Formats: sequence, structure tokens, C-alpha cells
Amino acid sequence: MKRERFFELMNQLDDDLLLRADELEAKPVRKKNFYIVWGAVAACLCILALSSALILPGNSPQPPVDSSPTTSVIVNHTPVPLDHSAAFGQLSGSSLAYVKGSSTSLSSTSSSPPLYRFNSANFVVRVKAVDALPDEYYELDVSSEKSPTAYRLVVCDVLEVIHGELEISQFLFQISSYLYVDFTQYDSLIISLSHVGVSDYYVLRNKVQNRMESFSLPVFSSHNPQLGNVIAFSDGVLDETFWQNKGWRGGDFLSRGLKDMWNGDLVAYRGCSETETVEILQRCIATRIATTGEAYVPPVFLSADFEDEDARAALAYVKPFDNGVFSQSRRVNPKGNTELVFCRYANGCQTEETVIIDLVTEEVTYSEVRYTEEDFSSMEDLGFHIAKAADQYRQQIPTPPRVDPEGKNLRTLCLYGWYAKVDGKVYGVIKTVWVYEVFSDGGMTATRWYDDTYVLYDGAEGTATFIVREDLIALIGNRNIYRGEYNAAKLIPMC
Amino acid sequence: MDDCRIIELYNARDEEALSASAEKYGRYCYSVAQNILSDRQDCEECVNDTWFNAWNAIPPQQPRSLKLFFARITRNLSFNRFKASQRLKRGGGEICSVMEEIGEFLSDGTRVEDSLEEEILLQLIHVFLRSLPRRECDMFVRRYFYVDTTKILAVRYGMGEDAVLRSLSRTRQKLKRYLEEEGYTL
Repeated sequence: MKRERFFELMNQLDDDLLLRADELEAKPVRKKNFYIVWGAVAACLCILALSSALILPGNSPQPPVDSSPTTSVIVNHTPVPLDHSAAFGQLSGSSLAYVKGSSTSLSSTSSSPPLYRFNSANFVVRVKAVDALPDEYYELDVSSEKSPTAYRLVVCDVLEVIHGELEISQFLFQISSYLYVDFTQYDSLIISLSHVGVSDYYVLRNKVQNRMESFSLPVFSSHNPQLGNVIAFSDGVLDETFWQNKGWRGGDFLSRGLKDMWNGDLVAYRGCSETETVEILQRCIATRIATTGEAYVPPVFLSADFEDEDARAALAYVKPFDNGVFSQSRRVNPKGNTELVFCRYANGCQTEETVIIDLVTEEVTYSEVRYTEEDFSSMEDLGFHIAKAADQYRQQIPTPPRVDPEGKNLRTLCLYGWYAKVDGKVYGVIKTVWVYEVFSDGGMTATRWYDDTYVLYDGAEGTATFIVREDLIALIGNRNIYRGEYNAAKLIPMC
Repeated sequence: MDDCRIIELYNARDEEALSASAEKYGRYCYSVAQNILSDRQDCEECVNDTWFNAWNAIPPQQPRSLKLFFARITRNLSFNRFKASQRLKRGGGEICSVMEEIGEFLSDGTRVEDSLEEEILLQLIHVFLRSLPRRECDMFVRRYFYVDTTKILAVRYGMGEDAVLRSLSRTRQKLKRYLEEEGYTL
């Protein structure tokens, strides 16, 4: 067909396409309701129907037979650019897709009783659960080594602060889905809390709606909640029905009989009143302070209210959806100060860009690598490729390059993607991971084998190539890259 | 004057339809012509010819969107004039770049196209465009129907020009791939 004829043919496009293209694009309106700030819907899913997925030769990713580090196999690949029609940063997607493998689950057989771990930097509060967000969420920082945990978010009104400096009236309680019960049915709960996310800046991925969301309430979780760090009361008395959910250590807790008022570690007993539990807790905390022999600093609620202008500018930089999506985590730096670490995500996949704010000194550290809106226009849509490949693998398990699967069980097959920027150029990497295992000694030990492949995406060139580990490390460094031995059996005791 | 009233004037053979059309859509049609033709006089003539063509077309045609109806006529007239000017080796505007881009995924072979084959192609293009995210589809339409420059597209969509070029290139590649997969040889 001559190009002129094609141009003339365009005259026959449907009216609605022509009229729509003539409209001025409306700016996305961010609607802030009582406790949720929405992200935009992932538009990348719209191109799923037409765009070609990562097509691997023979549907099995095969690295070169020649294990020379300089050899690579070109993958038959149609570039799938990151959909820039979604507002910058309002991107969804996921870095991780599990084809086979189970979620992290409670596997401890310890018979130690539930404890209040108030010797860690936790708040202890008495709350009333008033609502729960309907969807499940994932944290952005997921590892390729285990299936991510889904969380529910419960809205809690603070009735009393038992330990710690906490001047908030409401927060979101982040609890693993497998532990979730309808908390609102109880008159009150006593929870030992860890502060997870500063309000407005904490971003999670909505599992159901596949979009990023931030929240206008601070988010807390509980360290090992199944070990008794959440206790329910109804009509002022301990409510044992709380432990009926199979995820909780109800068996262990109830097996103690709940008869002893306080045998040194339990803070509640069968039939005890809420008032008594609060008194026991306060006694335990006082004893802890008295016996530690050092200053026991109760936790202080750390908000993002900075005085330093640079710190405020850093917060503005990481504000969700204004300049992208950032995960938020806390850690203690070498000075002993707690710091907030924000890590940029694109399409649900981690980049190496970070912004770190020391919460004590308010000092800000930006990573050397910074991503710009320009970078987004040349990035490959890794989330799309991951999802598509995972679908293909569910139909047919790909053969690992080194491990002989004969006689072995496939324990894990997953894909994990991330971005790296080198000399101004953005690359994407998708790692496919196999873990095979064989049980022996009547199931008392397992032997496992690890294998993986890496595909390097060059958005600017529109290419996807298999790349061996050594070449990849030379190009982007060793972040997220397996450093162990290949095809080496590892003996894992099962108990 | 609303479109329904203008169409009524055409139907009534009232020449006020022409002045009403020019008043409401003159600048718009001029911009459509200007994207294809670099010469001002050529643009003005094409726009004037648009009203004449519309007068001859309505009735019996009863366009649902008057704006698009005029845009298509102006576009056709402008492109015909462009083709004529190419034969005379006269320079063109943005349309030259657009033609080159289209040429990237089309051969310029001497294959004879029949109307049925073109109809199939048009259907496939529609399916393809409707599968795209809105911005990507709109950008494609604005480039290859409205002949917007990459600069205008960059401003319109808040992107850099390089990003616009890359995005359009990818869409063309996707279209080419899609048509090949559908068995339509270009």
C-alpha cells in the first residue's frame, strides 16, 4: 500500500476516535476521602491484548550453551514501553509474580507462650476498631526470595495510650490477611504497635485494584501479632474467641489454661478484665525500666513534621504521585538515629534511587542516581512482561538452564523485575528463579537446588537479551543478583 | 450558531450556511490545512473549497459531527494539493515527516489495492487503535490524521519531543506487528 493511500485511509477513522483526540486532556483529579488517597489505575493493562509478550525460544528460557560470559541470546521481543499516559508516578504494576510457591506462613512449632514484647521500640495502645479497608495490599518492598504477604488495613480509634508518646486519635493497623478477623466486633483491643508508615507518604499496592495508594492516616503494624501482641476484650473481659482464627496461636495460648494471673510472661488470663490487663502491662513496663540498668526510652511517634527546609523539600520530592511512587521504610543508621528511607518504584519495580532523611538531625541524603520523567518515557513496562511471562509459565513450566529437574519437585518458580540506571540509560531486568527440592529422611531434611536466568531490557534500543550474571553485575552492579553457587545442592533441615 | 441550525441552512439551500460555517469552523479548518500545506494561500483556498464541497454534499449527507465533516474535507483537499505540489517538486510542511514515518511500516510497492482489502485494513486499524491506552491512541490520531507537529504534541501531552517521537515509533511498530500477525501484508 502506498503511504499516500494510508494517509487518505485515515480520513475514514471513526468519529469518536477523532473527536476524542481533539479534546484537551483533563488533569487527573485526586480525590482525598477520609483516610485514603487514591493512585491512578494501571493503564498498562490496556495494552495487554495486543502487545507481544516476551517470547522465549521454545517457550523455555535457555541461556547459551557456551557458558562464556560474553555470549548472549537475543530474545524475540517486541518492546512494550511504560505507559506514559498514566500520570507520572501514578503507576501500578508489580515486580514479582509467583508461578509456583507458597506464601510465607507460620511454621514455628515453638511452644513459647504469647508475650508482650514491650522491650522493643513499640507503643502499647488500647483501641476500638471502627472499620477495615475492603481490599488487600502488598508492600512495595518485596523480595524475590519469598512470596509476598498480603495485608489488610483496619481503622482504629485510640482509646488510651498505655506506653509511648503517641498523640494521634486514629491510625491504620496493618495486619497480615491470614490473621485478619473482623476486629470491629470487639469492644476494644490492646495492641503492641510498631510504627510503619508516616501518613500521606506511606504507599502500598492495592492487590485487588492493582494500583498504588497512599493514606492520610499513619500506619502501624504489630511485631509477631500472633504471639499475643493483640488481645481482644468484650464487655470489659478477655474475649477468647479472638484466637479462633486458625492463623493465631490460639492452641498454644489456650493450652496454658489461662489460669495463672501472671506467671511472668502472660499479661492476660481467662476471665481477666481489661482493667487488670492494663495494670499488669503497666507493672511489666515499670519492671522493665527498673531492671534494664539503662535508660529505657519509650517510643516517640515520629511524624514528618520537619523544621529543616531541605528535609521538607525532600518530603515534597517523595510525596506520592507528585513525583513518582516511593516505598517507605525505617532503619537505624550508624549514628544510632532512626531514618526514613524512601526508594523510588516504577511500574511496581524497584529502582536504585533513594532519599534518606535522618529523623533526628533532619539531614537528607539523595542517591547519586535520580530518575526523571524523561526516563519514564524510555522505560520498558517490566510489570507487563512479568505478568505475561508468568501466564505463559503457568501453561508450561520452563526448563531451568543448569539444574536437572528429573526426580525433583519444583518448589518455587517466580519472576522478579527491577530497574537500573547506568550512565543516564535506564535498563530493566527480569530474573526467573527456580528452586527444586527433594525430601529425605522421612521428610526430616530437604535438598534444594537454585537456578535463575536474567533478561536485560534496554528501553531506548527496544531490545531484550539474555545476560549472564557476571555481565549483568559488570553493567549494573550486584543488586538483586544471586551470588551463590549454581547447581549446588543445599541440605535444609525440616525441623 | 449550533451545528443543527447550520445543517438546516444547508438543507434549505440558504447561503447563510456558508458564512455560518466559516465563522464557526474557519480557523479550525485553516489549522487542519496548515499542518499539511506550508503555503498560506493554498491553505485559504482549501478552506474556501471546503465550504463549497460541503454545500454540494449536504444534502443528502447529514453529518453527525459538523466539525469532523469539515475537517475531513479540508484534510482531503489539502492532501490533494500537497500531492500536486510534490509532483511539481514544491516544498511541504510537517506532512513530509508524517509521510516518511508512515513509510517506515509500509512498502511503496505497486501492489493493487482493492476496496475490500482496504476495508479490512481499516477495520484492523480501528481494533488496534481502540486497544491502545487513550493517550497513545490520541497521539497516533493527532499525528496521522491531524498532522500535528511533534512540538505541538509535546506541549499538548506534557512530554519532551524525543519522548513523543519514541512513543510514536513504538506505536507504529506495534501496528505493523499487529497487522502482520493478522495476516495483512503491507
